[in-house]
Amino acid sequence: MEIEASIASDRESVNGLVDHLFRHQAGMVTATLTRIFGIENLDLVEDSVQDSLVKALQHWPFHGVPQNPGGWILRTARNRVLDVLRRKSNFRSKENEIAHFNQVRFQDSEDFSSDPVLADSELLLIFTCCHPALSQEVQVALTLKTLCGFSVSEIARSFLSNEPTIAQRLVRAKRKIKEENIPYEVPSGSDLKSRMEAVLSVLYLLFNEGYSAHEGEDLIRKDLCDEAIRLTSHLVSTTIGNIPAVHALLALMLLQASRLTARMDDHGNLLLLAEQNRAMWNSEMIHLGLHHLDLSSEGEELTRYHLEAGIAACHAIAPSYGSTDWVRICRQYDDLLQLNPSPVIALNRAIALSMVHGPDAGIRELSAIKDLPAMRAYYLFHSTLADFHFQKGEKSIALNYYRQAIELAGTEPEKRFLLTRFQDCEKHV
Amino acid sequence: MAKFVLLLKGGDFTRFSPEEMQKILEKYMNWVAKLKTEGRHHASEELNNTGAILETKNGRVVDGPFTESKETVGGFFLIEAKDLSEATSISSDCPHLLFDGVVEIREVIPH
Repeated sequence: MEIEASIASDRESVNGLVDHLFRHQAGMVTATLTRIFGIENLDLVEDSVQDSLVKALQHWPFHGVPQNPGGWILRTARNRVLDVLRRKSNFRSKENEIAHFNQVRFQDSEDFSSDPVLADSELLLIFTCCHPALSQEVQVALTLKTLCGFSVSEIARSFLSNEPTIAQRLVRAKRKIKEENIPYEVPSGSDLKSRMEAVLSVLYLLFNEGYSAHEGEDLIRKDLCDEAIRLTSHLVSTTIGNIPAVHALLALMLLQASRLTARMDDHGNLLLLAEQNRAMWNSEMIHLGLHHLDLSSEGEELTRYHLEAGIAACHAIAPSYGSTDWVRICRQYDDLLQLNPSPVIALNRAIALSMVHGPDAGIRELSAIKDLPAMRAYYLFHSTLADFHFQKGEKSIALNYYRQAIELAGTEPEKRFLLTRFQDCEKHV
Repeated sequence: MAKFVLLLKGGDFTRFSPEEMQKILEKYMNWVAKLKTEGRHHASEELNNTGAILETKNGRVVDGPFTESKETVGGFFLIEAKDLSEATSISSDCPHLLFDGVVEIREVIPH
């Protein structure tokens, strides 16, 4: 059907609507109106934004998409907030600020996304969402809901959780904000540094959730990668965000995302780095990623993002898996492990070491961490051990480890991937 | 060619995410665009959901309707179709039907 086909096709701008316009505008408008009306009115602002999108859905089919759709949504949402607030007794205290804002800002032709004051609203929102009084999972949910325009249902799907859990999380977040009087601001001084770390953590988490998803399952998770990149790109373009750590994080995201289309085969199965067709890697993203990696090396700071980006860069510039600079990658994993002694990093380091020194080295590294509960339950730990033993020709040991991996794997594409490796190993003489 | 009025009633968009609403909007716009390119579209308007109801029973004018219900007409289309069957077929593509909406199809009596 024509309608289905036009929805499914890739397009820049259909009917005057760029991709994800509603979602991005929802975030932008929420950020802006929260700045104007105060964080105590966050619920009202969110309702009004949702309401304005519903109105757009009702009006625009009859009258066409307006010249400035973002401006239309902003004005409509603002008007609804004003309507509700006018009925409240404390409205007068806000009236001056709002009146000024009304006169100055809302011309039809205004493209407010390039206005530095209004654009900064997004910064205010993300920094507020990452306040230390809120747990990280709350920070993530709040960011996705308010700044990224995700619904509760979409957030639940992104994190393989359920709607009531996420809904509750958001309710608790708003309550905490009120109870702790969390201000709507970008902190300064030493608070800024720690808050920036929290913001980068959340962005990194969003990206990883999206990246580790498998396209066959749910496209909403690819959207997470896009959102993470979009937000980090915006952050790096601001005065406070133009710092090495942010450049490094953006580099990491771009370099990894450059491989997204190459990670799946035609049947929706996962392809290893060794198996991917490198011609499908997005060279524009690689180029941009390397550029930001460059910018991240200015100054003294070395974060985990620097090291991970460095590793991603080694892969990005290698013409093949075999000719990758594994020695360099090993060194970066050594540094990374010191910064962040996580078992997952230890696992990846073991793989890199095996590429330089052979499977025995890999097995040795892994036996050092095999008793960690996180490793025992991690399917990739077992499948990696299986790979090492397979490389050594120890077939039955390998098959045992593949079996354990399959049992531990969480999703269908992961299971299929492991089953293939199991069968390949079995068939091998 | 006959004319038909399509009354779009009810419809609940409130449970959708911004992304989902944009996809719905695109469907609507494509449906309307198709009507226009096929030369079937005569008129369409969205209606304010509060207005007035005139009742002859007590001879007074009352405000209403107030609540958006399944029966509230949100808008209408005046289109051309060969017959009721064709008009129904065209209406069955209307995205309004995907969101708890109702489309009432009535032929304009020719004169």
